[in-house]
Amino acid sequence: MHNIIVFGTGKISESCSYYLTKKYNIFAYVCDNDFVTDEPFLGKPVIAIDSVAKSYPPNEYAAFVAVGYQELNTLRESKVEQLTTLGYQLVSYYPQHTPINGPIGHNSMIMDDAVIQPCVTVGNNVLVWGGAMVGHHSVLQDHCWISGGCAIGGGATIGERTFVGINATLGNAITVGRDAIIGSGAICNKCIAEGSVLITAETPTYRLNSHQFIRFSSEFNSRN
Amino acid sequence: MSLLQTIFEETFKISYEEANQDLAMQDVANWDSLTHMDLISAIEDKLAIRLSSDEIADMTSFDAIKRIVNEHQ
Repeated sequence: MHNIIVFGTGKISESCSYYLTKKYNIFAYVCDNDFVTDEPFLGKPVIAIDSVAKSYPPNEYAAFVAVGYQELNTLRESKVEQLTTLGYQLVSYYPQHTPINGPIGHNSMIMDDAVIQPCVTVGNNVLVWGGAMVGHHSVLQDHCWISGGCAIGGGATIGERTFVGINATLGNAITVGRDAIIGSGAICNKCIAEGSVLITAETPTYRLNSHQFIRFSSEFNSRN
Repeated sequence: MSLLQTIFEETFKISYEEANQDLAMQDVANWDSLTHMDLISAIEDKLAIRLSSDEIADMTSFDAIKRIVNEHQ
């Protein structure tokens, strides 16, 4: 079992740690120098990035960067580069028996409850959340963020740094250009260019409150 | 045909004869929460009235709707 350090001390790090501890020994958490406190995180010491290589040398520890999709995944991308420059090997996590196509990239995570169909290619620094469905022969390029509940059709290509929101639907064999944002619940059945943004309208609040709604909708129950 | 009957006919895609009966929610197959709000919008727009939330909740049959609408006129 690898010994690792994890960059990030927020909710994403806490979520990723849940899975990482199944495969790795986490020894410490790392954050930017300005955010260091004496408080441990998940019971482990928190180390400033400038001093981590001294305390946890890269020839003894690997690393994982667990931060969110800030700045369209470029923050996470830059932290991966920073730790790589310090000499760390970046580990990945995916459930046993995941039928991915070849080796998963470094610093990528496929959470246990994601559905990955056969022959999917996963690049570097990709996060796939539980509940996502990634169709066969799809390609998730570097630094993507694939949210829970989304459905990606077979043979689709998701460009670098693209964000796919909760419950979004991406059609079969389409290509989404890099740096795109697919909002929650959006439907994308055609190829879209890099930098595209797809969002859907929010469901408006119903005019009746819940008590009034139940009063009239209880009439429907008497149909059966 | 009254304007209200026309609204019932158009909203629920029912015949003139059906729109003329006292049908309740359970009698009309496509009377659900969405068509209910379509119905309310049509009544408010075409009759130029504003229904309260409680009135909307009480509109569970054609007769109830006619009574409530009459109170506005």
